[in-house]
Amino acid sequence: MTATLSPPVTTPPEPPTASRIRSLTTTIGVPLLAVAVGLAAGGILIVLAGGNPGQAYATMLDAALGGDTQLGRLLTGMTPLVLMGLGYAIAYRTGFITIGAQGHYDVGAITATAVVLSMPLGTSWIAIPIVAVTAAAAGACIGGISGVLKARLGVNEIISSLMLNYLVFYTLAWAVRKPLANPNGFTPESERIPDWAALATIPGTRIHIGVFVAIAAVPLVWWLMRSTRFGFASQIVGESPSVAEANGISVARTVVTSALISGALGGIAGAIMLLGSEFRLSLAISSGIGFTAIVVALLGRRNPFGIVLAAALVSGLTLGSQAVQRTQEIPASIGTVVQAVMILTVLLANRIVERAR
Amino acid sequence: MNWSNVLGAGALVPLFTAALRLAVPIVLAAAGACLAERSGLMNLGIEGQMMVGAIIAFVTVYYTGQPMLGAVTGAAAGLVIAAIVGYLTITMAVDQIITGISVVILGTGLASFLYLQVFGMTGTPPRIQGTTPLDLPVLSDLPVLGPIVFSQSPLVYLALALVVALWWVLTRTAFGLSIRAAGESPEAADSVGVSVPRTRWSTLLISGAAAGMAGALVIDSLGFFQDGITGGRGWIALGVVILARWNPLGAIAGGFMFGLVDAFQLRVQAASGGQATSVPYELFQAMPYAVTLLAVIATTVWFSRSNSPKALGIPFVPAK
Repeated sequence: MTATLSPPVTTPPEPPTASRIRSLTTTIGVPLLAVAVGLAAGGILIVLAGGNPGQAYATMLDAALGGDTQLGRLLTGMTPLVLMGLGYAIAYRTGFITIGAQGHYDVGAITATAVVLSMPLGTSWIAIPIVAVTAAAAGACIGGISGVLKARLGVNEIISSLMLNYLVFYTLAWAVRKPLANPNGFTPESERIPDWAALATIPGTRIHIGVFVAIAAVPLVWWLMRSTRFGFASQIVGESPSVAEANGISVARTVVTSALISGALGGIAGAIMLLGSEFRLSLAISSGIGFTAIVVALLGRRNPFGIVLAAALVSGLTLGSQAVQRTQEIPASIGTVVQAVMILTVLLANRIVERAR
Repeated sequence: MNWSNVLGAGALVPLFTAALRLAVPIVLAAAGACLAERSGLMNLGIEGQMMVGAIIAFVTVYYTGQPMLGAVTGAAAGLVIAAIVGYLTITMAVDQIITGISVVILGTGLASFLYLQVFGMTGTPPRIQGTTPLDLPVLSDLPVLGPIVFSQSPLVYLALALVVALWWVLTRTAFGLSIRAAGESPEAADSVGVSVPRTRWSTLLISGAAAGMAGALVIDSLGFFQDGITGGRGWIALGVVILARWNPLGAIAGGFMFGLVDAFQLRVQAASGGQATSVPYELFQAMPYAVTLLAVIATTVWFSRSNSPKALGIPFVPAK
């Protein structure tokens, strides 16, 4: 299965400025159109649910941007989406279409919990680096399995990564019931992590150091994609594995590397969410965030900076739709539908633009 | 716990009966996907089509009490969702993989929205009365095979008949020949007058309807709906397509293996009474997914990938 599916398009040469302006219009115009169509579809659902779209969207905007608390929630909510969206983009470039982000995230959260709960005493300065390394390694292991299976044996990575998601989920279910269970809890959950293990925050806000990890990852991934041998190799492999092999680039190694990186980013995302926002492992941590991260990567056109904007939009939409469910009894799943409509619009609009050229 | 409750002589027939019932939704969805993939089209949106089929069927059966009508409306719902995939991937030649994943997200969100919209947040979740087993005359009296195969729900018979029909269409009809041509060599098919887009549209709508009806079968045997009810069965069906070597009859065998593992794990949970066993029950719950993964790996290694339809996943743009 190949990732680059559009047939070669031959276009007559045109002046560089004209093509640049056109591509800029596409870069900005298509996502804006997608947002508009998505919100319109959401508006229809809100009306069907007996709500008032204006009021509902005002509530959503307030829940996402209405004040310092809301902004803090938005930033902490964006953090795992940015990290996993970057991971998806890196893997996608090599033609490795993983949907394993959920599993990477879950295993990162399990690892973080296990590590901090098993340290007899500690300080965050010792614990955090250990958690970061182990959670990244755990995520990379899960991602790496799909990567090796694809690169060495040709096993479809969509199926393998999805099945691994379920295997990790049941490991999580077992972990919160048995080895990590809180003996005083009513539902399966771990004990709360000790205070020293919680990520440091900017005083008076919810914004923790994990947010800055995500911020730092954005230019780092951009540099990785543009300016390193791996970034160059992954682009060639994604476009044509045979050309890559002919030029001495190992397809297998590039695919496995990208799988390991995307897994590690997912593992770190899960650990950050646990130590920065959740503080306790439970089944609720595995709530479809992996698919949301794919939405983020696609809406952001798999560009690191685009991913940040998309994460802000999607995170705001998620917070907003939860607020709308609380206050106006409109199902929060409209947020999911709006996301899906936005990506489908992007896909369609990109194609129409491509055809018009 | 007492293992003879799971694998003892008296327990085997109920185990296989449950296995077939649990297998059928996957078999049906996989058989539909076989046709789509043989025509060169990846319908990765199956999980979403199944989910929407499940909720529409649930609402139908809840209000009419007619499980058969639920199967029809479920199939129709799956078909409508598949049409979205078709417009993007066939008419507009958009990437099939990303479209499929997006449609799964769409279907999951829509199903959840519809459920809350119709039933609200209630303390006691609404339930439906599913189909009751129908003993086929004479056949159900056969030893062993009778109770396993011929004392199933009418929906199971319907689904299995449809799977055989799909196999017949694919392998024995002119339309089946066009399907295979469109998936192996679309340019050649086009040059001899086969409309590749029309062929792919047909198989995709069949696949969507099969997935939607599979969703109806899931809620028929469970009797309730909740978010994530299809539990990855749509994705497992896509794995079964690989195991089945893109043959609908093979999907029966591949799907049955999954059903057997699923029935086994449910029975282990029931036999252990939810009590602590030396082996955690999550291990058994995870088994269907582990088996699917291992089986897909084994099939891929055994046959090498050369057996997959050559034009699978590649959009076809007819020359003007």
